[in-house]
Amino acid sequence: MSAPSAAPPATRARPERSPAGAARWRSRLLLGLQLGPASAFVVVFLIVPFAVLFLYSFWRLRAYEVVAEWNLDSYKRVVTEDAYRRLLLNTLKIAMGASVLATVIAFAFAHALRFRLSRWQEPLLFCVVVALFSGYLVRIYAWRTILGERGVINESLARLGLIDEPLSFLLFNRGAAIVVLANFLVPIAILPIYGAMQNIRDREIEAARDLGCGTWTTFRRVTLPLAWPGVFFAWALTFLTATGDYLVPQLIGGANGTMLGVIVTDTLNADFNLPRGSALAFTALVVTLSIIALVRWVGGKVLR
Amino acid sequence: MRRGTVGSWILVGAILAFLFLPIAIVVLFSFNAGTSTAPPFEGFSLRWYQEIFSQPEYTGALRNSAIAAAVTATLAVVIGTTASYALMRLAPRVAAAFAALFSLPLLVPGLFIAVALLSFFSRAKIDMSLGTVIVGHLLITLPLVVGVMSARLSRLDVSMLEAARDLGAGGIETFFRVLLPLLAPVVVGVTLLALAWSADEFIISLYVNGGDQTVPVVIFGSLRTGLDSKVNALASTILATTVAATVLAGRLMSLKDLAR
Repeated sequence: MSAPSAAPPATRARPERSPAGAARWRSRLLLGLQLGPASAFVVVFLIVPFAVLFLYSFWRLRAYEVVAEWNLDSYKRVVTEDAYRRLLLNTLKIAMGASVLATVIAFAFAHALRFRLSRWQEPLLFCVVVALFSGYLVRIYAWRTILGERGVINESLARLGLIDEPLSFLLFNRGAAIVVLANFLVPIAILPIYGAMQNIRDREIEAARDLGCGTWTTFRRVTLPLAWPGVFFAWALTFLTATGDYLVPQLIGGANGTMLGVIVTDTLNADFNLPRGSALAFTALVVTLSIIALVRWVGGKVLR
Repeated sequence: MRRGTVGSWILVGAILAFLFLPIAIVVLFSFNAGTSTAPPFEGFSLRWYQEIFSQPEYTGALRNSAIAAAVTATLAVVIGTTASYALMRLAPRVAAAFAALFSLPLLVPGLFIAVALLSFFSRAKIDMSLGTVIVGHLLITLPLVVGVMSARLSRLDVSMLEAARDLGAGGIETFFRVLLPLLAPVVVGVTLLALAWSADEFIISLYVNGGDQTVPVVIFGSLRTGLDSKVNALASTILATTVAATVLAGRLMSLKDLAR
C-alpha cells in the first residue's frame, strides 16, 4: 500500500487561512463523519446484539421469558450433556472435513492459476467470482436435485437399467454434507489464497530452483510458507462458515450429519430457550476459535 | 505448451465442473417441459417461469428481494465508500483497527449473526420486516464494500489528490470532484456485487423476515416439501440476476480487488 500521508489534508491545504488547531479539529470532525455511520452500524447491529446474546446465556428462562437471574446452568448443560457434546463433535468433524477439502481444492486451483495458467488469470478468476456470487441456496438446492431419491444420479442410473431402486447412500450422511459444504466453500477459499500467491514473485521461485531445489522442496520451503497467510485465512474463514451452517445439515446431512445450526435453531424456535441456545452458540464459537488459534500457532512453527 | 500445462487445465477444468455442474443442472431443468427435476428432459418450455411470474407468492418474494438488494447495495456503498476514504487518511494502526471492525461481520458465522439480531430485535421490541432484513444484509455487505474500495484506494495514484489539495481543494471538494469520478466504475461495480450478495443471502433473511419473505427464503420453504420445477425457475432467476451483476461488475472493475 502506498502509504497515505499521515497529515490530514485540510491542515496542508489551508495553513495560512485558519489557525492550525482549528484546521486539525475540522479534519478530525470530517474523519469522524466519514467513519461514523459505518462504525455505528456495526456496533449497534453486530456488537450490541452479540453482547445481548452473551448476557442471555447467563440468564434464566422463566415461563418462556428471559429474566435477569445470573447463573451458569445453560453452560453446564451444554458442556455436560452427552447429546450436546456429540453434536459439537459432529459439527467440528464435518466443518473440519469440509474446510480442509475446500482449502486443498482452492489451493490447487489458485496455484495452477498463478503459476501454470497465468495468461488465463482474469477469465478464470472471473469464473470463481461468479461461482462465489451464485452461491449458497441455489447450490444446496442443486445438490438435492442431483443426489435425491428421484434426483439426477438415481434417475439416470435407473434409465440405464443399472439399478432397480434408488441408491439411498447418496444423501443424508456425513460424507454428502462434507462434499456439499466444500462445494460452496471453494470459491470463498480461492480468493485469499490467490491473493497471497500474487505477492509471491517469480524470482523467488526461480532463486529456489537456481539454488537446486526440486519441485517439492520449492513448494514446501518457498511457495507454501509465502502463501501460508492466505491459506490459513481461507481455511479459518471456511471453517467458521461451515461451523455455523444451517442448510446443509438439514437438507443434506441426515441423522449423522446433524450440526449445531439445526439444534440452535430448534432450541430457539421450538423451545424458545434463548439462554441455552446462546450458550450453545458461544461454546461452539469459543471452541472453534481455539482450534483456529491452535492451527495458526502450529502452522507458524512448522512453516518457519 | 509447457509440461504440466495440460495437467493444470485438467485440474482447473475438474474444479470448475465441480463448482458449476450442480448449478447448470438446476438451470437446465428450469426449462423442462415436464414436471420432473431430473432426467429425462422432456423438451424446452418456459412454463415454470410463467408460473412463478404469475403467482403472488413468488412475485412478492421477487419484489422483496429486489427492494432489499437495491436499498442494501445503495446504503452499503455510500457508508462503505466514505469509510474507506477515511481509512486511507488514518494512521496505519488506527486504520487497521477500523478495518477489523468493518470486516467483523464476515468473520462471524451467518447463523450467529442471525440469532443475535433476532434476540436483539425482539428485546428492543422492533417488529421483523423487510427493514430488519435490510439491516442484516447491510451488515454482511459492508465488509465486501470496504474490502474492495480499500483495495482500490490503496492502488490509487495519490498525486492526483495531492494536486487537488495543492490547488486549494478541501477534503469534501477533493472527494466529490476528484476521487469520486476516478472511482466511479468501481463504485458501480461494487454496487452490483452488493446487489448480488444481498439477493443470495439466506440465513439472516430466514430469521428476521417477519413474513416479508425473500426469494431464498421461499426456495427454502418449498425445499422442505420436496423438489418442484417452479423452484428451479425461481433459483435460476436469482442466479441470472447475480451472474449478470457479477459479469457487469467484472467489466467495470478489477475482480482481483476481491482477492486479498
